[in-house]
Amino acid sequence: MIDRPPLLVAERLSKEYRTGRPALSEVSLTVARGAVLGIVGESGSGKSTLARCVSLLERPDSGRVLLDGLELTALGPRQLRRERRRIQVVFQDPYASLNPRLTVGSALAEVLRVHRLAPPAGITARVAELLALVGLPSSAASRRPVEFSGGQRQRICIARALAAKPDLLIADEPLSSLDVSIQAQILNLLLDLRDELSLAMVFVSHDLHVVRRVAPTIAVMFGGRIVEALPPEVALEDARHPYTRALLDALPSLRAKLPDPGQADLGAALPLEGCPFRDRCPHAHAPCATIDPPLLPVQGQHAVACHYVNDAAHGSNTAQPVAQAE
Amino acid sequence: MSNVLAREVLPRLERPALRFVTSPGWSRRIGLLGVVAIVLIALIGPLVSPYGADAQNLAATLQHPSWQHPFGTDQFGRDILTRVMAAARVDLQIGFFGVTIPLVIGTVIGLLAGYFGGLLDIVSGRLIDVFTAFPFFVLVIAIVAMLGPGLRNLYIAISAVSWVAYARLVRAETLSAKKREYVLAAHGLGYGSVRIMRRHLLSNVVSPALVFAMSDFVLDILVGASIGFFGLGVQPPAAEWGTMIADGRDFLITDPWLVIFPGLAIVVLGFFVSLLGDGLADYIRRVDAGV
Amino acid sequence: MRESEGLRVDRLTVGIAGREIVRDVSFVVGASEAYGLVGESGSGKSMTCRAILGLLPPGSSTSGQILLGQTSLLELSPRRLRRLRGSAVGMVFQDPMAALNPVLRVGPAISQVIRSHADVTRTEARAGAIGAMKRVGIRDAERRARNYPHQFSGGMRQRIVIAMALAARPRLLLADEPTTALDVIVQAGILRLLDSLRRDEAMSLLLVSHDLSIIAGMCERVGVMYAGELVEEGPTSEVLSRPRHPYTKALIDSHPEDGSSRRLRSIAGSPPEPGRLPTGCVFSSRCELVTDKCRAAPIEFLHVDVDHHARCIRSELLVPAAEA
Repeated sequence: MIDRPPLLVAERLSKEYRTGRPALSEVSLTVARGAVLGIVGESGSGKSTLARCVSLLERPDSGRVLLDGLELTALGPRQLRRERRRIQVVFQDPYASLNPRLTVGSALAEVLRVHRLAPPAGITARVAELLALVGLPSSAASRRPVEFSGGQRQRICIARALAAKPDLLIADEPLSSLDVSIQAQILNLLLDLRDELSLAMVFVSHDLHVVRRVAPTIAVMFGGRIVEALPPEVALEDARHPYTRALLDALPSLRAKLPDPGQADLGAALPLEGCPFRDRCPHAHAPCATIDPPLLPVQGQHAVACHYVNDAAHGSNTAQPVAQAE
Repeated sequence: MSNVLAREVLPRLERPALRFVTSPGWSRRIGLLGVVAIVLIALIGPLVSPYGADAQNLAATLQHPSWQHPFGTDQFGRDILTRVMAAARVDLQIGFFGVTIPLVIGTVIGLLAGYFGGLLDIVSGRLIDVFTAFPFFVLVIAIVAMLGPGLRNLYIAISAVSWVAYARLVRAETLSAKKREYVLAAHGLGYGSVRIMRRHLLSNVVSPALVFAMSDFVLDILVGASIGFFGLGVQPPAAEWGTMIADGRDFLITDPWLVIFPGLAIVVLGFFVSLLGDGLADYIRRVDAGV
Repeated sequence: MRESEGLRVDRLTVGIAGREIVRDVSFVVGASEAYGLVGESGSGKSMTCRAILGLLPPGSSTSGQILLGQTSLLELSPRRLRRLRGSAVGMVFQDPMAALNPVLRVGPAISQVIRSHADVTRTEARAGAIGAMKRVGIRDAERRARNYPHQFSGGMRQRIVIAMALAARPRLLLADEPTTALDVIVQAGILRLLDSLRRDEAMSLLLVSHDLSIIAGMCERVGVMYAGELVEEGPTSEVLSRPRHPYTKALIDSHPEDGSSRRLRSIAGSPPEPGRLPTGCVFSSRCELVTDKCRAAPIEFLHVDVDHHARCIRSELLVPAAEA
């Protein structure tokens, strides 16, 4: 176990938008320094809401976010503005993520100026450094985003995030808008940066394959909660939660497997009580309709939120129900 | 010579400000040319004309258009061509101030209301509703009637009523722009509201307002002319197209040129400004699309 | 030789504004066969679809031949082409809302399609529409036929589009990125549906996607497109296990599916612009095996194995040593 406090702790985050099921329901997670946590889910799973709440781009309705012990959710607006550069987000759409009117150089320089991360005389050099870090030439600084391709723009977004010298980088579907061959480039870039800068990362995606490549620990989300936490030593194929298994069955594969949709009921709304997955689950039984299954460990750090799995495993439930990335 | 052209001149023409002039688009260029031409005529015309705009010549009243008086003379013998050119100064000003003041006020209010929402948005929204409930002309005339005739009061009246349209446009753009990822990123980078509004929102939300400003320009000139027509605008003997038309009404049947030429001037200026506005809208669309 | 009762594309070239977007593309989709066209954005795969459907933008030029059964599509008048679309050729695109009229209830929308291609009464068409909805897996079809498109989820809308595409029992179904906007599990349902429909209706399926794994699961043959050209073509299992074009191999290597190493093998650089193609092989600027000969002249579509072609003069290098 690590003695230092973890870098990021999110405690029981909840957020509800207007109707139906809450977008986030008491989600907790921790990320250690330099670690990578993967979050996998389909649309409506709450993964993007989680990313936004953790980075405080949106305020959770309840729960806390602690960065290195500092409670971000309790900070006043001015203090928050100063501290929030330590968590940076890279978004899905590289086209909407950059202000079209600013040159790349001025966008990067702005970060440095506002947070005084470089002396005025050294800004140009630092901008060139950041561009080199993401594989772009220094001549990019004088050009506007419109002159770059999707992959290049995503690099610029990463450079802008890095300019703030963050402790944690949250990547919310950073590859989904890119071509396949470019995805590989950007993925490799993120891995390189993690190694070079010991940057902690939270990688959010709907693509289980990609997440496994990047993140040793994976949290699977469904219906606004984490339903399974997969530590590095557990292979994807050994996942236990019925939703994760359904996801695996449905994944297309280069090995010429026809995807299996399982019992998905198209378009039906998720039930409001009990386990959100019960309408599609082959193992649904009595407690599933009324009790929301807690996230409990089944073996070591491998945790699952499912009555069927947990009942089958054992009855003890003393450990803290949390997804951890070490 | 052509080397110098290629090396020095052409790259400079590529700079953003000049690109507005040089990039392709005939409406914009013709509109710009026309407006610039009219401005030049307004500035220089009265200076080079042998006649003063207000110089009466009672021996040569109501002359038909001729070589000496291309637009003819009015009932006081004043040369209409000179008066039309002098009046251009006034009407151009009316258009200019009648647009820029409301543009600034409306943009600021719209940006603040759209960005902060809440009470500010509600209050300004109701205010906008109140002003929108009244017909534009009626309100302007009412305010001018209250304050008294004269150019300055005209500007006040127009500004007080027109800002509403700009505020609405800018607010709508701001509401959608503030959700875009680059604004979210600015929040995430800890930028304050002022910086976000100034650097990241303003130039991206003001385009529809700018395009509207072009048609508003023409409208304001018409308002100025109408106010002048009612006798509430510039006072005699100052030249202004609307007052010229009003004064020439009595002679419409016998000496229509008193009315035709100022009227034509309004149409021509309106035409070029519309073209400019069209071209501007097109240009902005292209710049935003990255072409 | 396979029967060319389905679709035959022969040396198709499509030019837009003087630039060739699709160049010398030839492939055959047999009757009841599923053929996959894979490529990234800008590869020309969507333009190829549009050429088959006769939906190219105005001002484009085409050469070559497209044969649907015995009919030559490029020579048809716009009116005949319009009749063909929907009757002999069904189409499914990425965004279902682009194909569905938002103010038409879905039942009548499907009935409309049926009646425009077959002489049936209104009642028969309505029954046909409900049957089509059931066939694509929409539960409670009688009731849901009265719903508007916005009342359905994305996956269901796509199923309705498929129902409309199949309403006139076409010979060929063309699906261009039909699942790209959908969640994984919903996508699986749509793919299964397309697969079973293809087999049940004995229909040819041309599936276009950027995702090699989708094509792997669905299609018997695959064509790989890059920068407007077909660079490799053959049986899917062959092409995936023994790719004979460096781009195909790179595409497979860069797929994130369970590799052993952390880093994905990515391809440096980016595809060439349509107006600025290299003289020789289109992939030469990014290929690891490139030689001067590759850059000198355009490469022919060479026969590398049974029913397997590749546009590469160095393809033997890609065959594993043990086999060569």
